[in-house]
Amino acid sequence: MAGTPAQMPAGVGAADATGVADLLARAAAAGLPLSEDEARGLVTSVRRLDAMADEVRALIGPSVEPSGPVVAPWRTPRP
Amino acid sequence: MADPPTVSAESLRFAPIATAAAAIRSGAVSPTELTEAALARITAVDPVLHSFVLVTADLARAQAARAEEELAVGVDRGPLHGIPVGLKDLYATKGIRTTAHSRVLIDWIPGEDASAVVRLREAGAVLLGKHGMAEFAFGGPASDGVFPAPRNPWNLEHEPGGSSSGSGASVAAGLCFGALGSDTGGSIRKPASHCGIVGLKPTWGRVSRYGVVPLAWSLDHAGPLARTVDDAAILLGAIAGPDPRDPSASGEPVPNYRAGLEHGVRGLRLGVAWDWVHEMGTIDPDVLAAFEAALGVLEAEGAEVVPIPSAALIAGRSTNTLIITAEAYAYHEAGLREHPERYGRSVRGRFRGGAFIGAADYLAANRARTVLRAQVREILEGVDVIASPTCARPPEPLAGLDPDARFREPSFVNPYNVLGTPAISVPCGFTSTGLPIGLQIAAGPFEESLVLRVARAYERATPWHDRHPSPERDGGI
Repeated sequence: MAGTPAQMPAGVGAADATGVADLLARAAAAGLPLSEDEARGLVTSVRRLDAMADEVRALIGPSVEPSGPVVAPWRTPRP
Repeated sequence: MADPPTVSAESLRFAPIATAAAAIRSGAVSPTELTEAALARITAVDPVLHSFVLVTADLARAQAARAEEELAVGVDRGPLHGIPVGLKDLYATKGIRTTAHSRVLIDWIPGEDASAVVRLREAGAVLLGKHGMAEFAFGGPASDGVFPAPRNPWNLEHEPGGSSSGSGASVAAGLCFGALGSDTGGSIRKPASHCGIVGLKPTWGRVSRYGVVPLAWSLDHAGPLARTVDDAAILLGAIAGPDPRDPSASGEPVPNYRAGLEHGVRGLRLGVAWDWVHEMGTIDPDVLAAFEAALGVLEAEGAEVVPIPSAALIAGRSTNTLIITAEAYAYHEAGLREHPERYGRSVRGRFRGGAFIGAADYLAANRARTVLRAQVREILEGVDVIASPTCARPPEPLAGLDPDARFREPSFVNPYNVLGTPAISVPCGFTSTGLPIGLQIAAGPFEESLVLRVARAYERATPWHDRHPSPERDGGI
């Protein structure tokens, strides 16, 4: 079934240098200690989380109305 | 006057709580005898099962003696009075080490009890100890854990399911009469399914989480693991209700969960999301056969099985995973920066993923939660409950367990954490290799009585709850 939550984009099973470097930079920005080995181990799961984020964005669609605890009673324009 | 008939406490090892309670009331057995039998079984079996990380034998003996004294003077606290139980080791216990199965909390001695623990004590339950679990309710069975990983009592080489793994193993193996677990993405229902017992995740807020070490605040649920549906109803009745210490605890009145258990399923509509069941095409054939047979049993009992849409239930998994990972990282952020080496390898990796979820993605997942709730609410206007297998696959062997395997199979449990609605797992058979399979029944908010009633109708019509494991035999004891 298309878009199932765990299914990874093609080619995402192994860490690559770009992915590792990107994670190390993001970890440094977040103040999170992370070795290169640890970053390599995280690439797949972070890409999976990114794919899941794409999926939930598709679910909520183009609307920018808030939902959850705050519900806007009007339709807000998409910036 | 004749002496009351006596039964051995050992013979009540797998008895329902109500049966043990009746034996106590009749004088056939005492809380002290039940407690001593449970402690003896823990001593005999737990060296191979690893279901407890701490046994509170002195406390249990004192509580059992007090239960006896109270009954002798006419103080009866109800069906849990004098019944030995266990707690997942993330429930704070006053003066008793509480670790969440992690080196991070290995020295934590809470100054007060979790509210659910207070309620169990007020109901007269006897605390045998603290159960092992997945580290912080998020790691997998780990070889580098601070305590050994609990084992499946049906086959010690297999996982018991997590994260309330020790609770599931302990209840199934007759080391205690029931337990409290927690469920953020299936952590009560998965071990219930894998260990062949009943596990109930109530509505979010139905049970106070004050004093329960969090995994993800907006998804965490506290609830019971038990050997029968009635036992689960008894335990839930004891711990449910508002709590001034937990603002998220609901003020919704607590019904008598045992009252409607025998009302059957005649006329009820059971929704089945078949595309969800077959999502990814990885459901185990034995699980699928057991699920289809279970639907047949419920139809024979008078229910109508109705197909329902799958999309919202399938999407629940991504929403759940993003929210769990982000909230868990928020809770552990300082610890992961300051002493990452104190976390086990498995849970450390999972938590760290949360550092890479942006605020906008977290908010998108929360907006998706609202969308999914509306979609499932619409589904539940056409059916009374939703049925599915609890797990797509039976318990895996511990050796070579692949932590990513879960992403290659559908999750039938974690959408209900996003939805916050009640869901129960009840035993529905065994694989060809003798491992348990669970049936999940879910319903709308605060419909615990309904899921209990459907589960009880199924349990009453089937023999699975009468089968019990013998880990002492498998473990060569």
